[in-house]
Amino acid sequence: MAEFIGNYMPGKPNAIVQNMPGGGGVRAANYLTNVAPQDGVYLGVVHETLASEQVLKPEGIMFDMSKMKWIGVMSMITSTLTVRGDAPATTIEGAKQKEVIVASTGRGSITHQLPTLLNAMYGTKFKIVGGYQAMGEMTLAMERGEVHGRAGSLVGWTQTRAKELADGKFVHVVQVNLHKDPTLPNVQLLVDLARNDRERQMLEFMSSSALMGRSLLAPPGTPDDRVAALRAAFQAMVNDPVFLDVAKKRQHDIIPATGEEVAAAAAKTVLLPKDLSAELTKIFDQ
Amino acid sequence: MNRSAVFLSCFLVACAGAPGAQAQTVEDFYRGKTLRIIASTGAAST
Repeated sequence: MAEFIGNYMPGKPNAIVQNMPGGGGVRAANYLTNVAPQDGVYLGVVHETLASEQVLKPEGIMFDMSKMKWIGVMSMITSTLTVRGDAPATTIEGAKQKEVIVASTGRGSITHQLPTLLNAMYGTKFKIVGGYQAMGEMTLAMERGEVHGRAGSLVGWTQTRAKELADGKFVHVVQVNLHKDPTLPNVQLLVDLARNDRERQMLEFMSSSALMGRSLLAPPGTPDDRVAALRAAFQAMVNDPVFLDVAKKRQHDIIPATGEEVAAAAAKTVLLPKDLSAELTKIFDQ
Repeated sequence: MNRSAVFLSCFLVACAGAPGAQAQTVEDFYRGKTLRIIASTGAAST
């Protein structure tokens, strides 16, 4: 993105990337809100989980994701719960009847949260085995037959196990996003499991981070005319065949969304009613 | 028109004509600048 975005901006600025580790993105978002100049020069690409973290685990958070000036989304990050094709169950309905063992890196991760949520809300029998360190390690554990499945980002599968997916060796049970991924038209959306408005709000909250994946934002005080220029440049970039060709060669899927769309999702996420956030926190602590 | 009013009129006309009085365009602002993209790295905790 840094190579390209300036080409579409008035004045054609250069761009550089500065990595900022710490707190799963909290440090970077705190920096952008409280330290960085709010003039449209400093921008951010932060973890997609920060809006939900602001609600569920606000300690140390000195930002409001609903006040960020969202520029655009380069690619939504769909997550899936994926199992071996020969697992005892390969659907949510099946997992209500038979135990399915899934690997996890720990409580704070989707590898724990997604199966825990499904067990608590829909009575599935996912048995979570923790202690894994990384997605690749869990995939190998699936291949060895140690576990039946794991949750994680879809791109992790498509970039490393496309053939196995096509052959049915691995099966996606459910996808987590507000809209179906174009490559998964037949995989159930998590939000479609909702039986009432209360459940829908909770599942949309869980799913909204997909829209905030790989998105560009500006600090809250960035002037509106510069935000407009940045948004226009971003949309021009993600629709430019030259950019798309380079992204394809580098195996980056481009599934864009506008700054306005992600701003609306962030605003909705941080406004989750307190009783629902308390219920989710209770579920994830199980 | 008294002297004060003439002075004020001249002052306002002079200010409006000064280069610094015109709003800086977005293009002027970004020309020669380097965007700094802060990228959070590391595992998410939620």
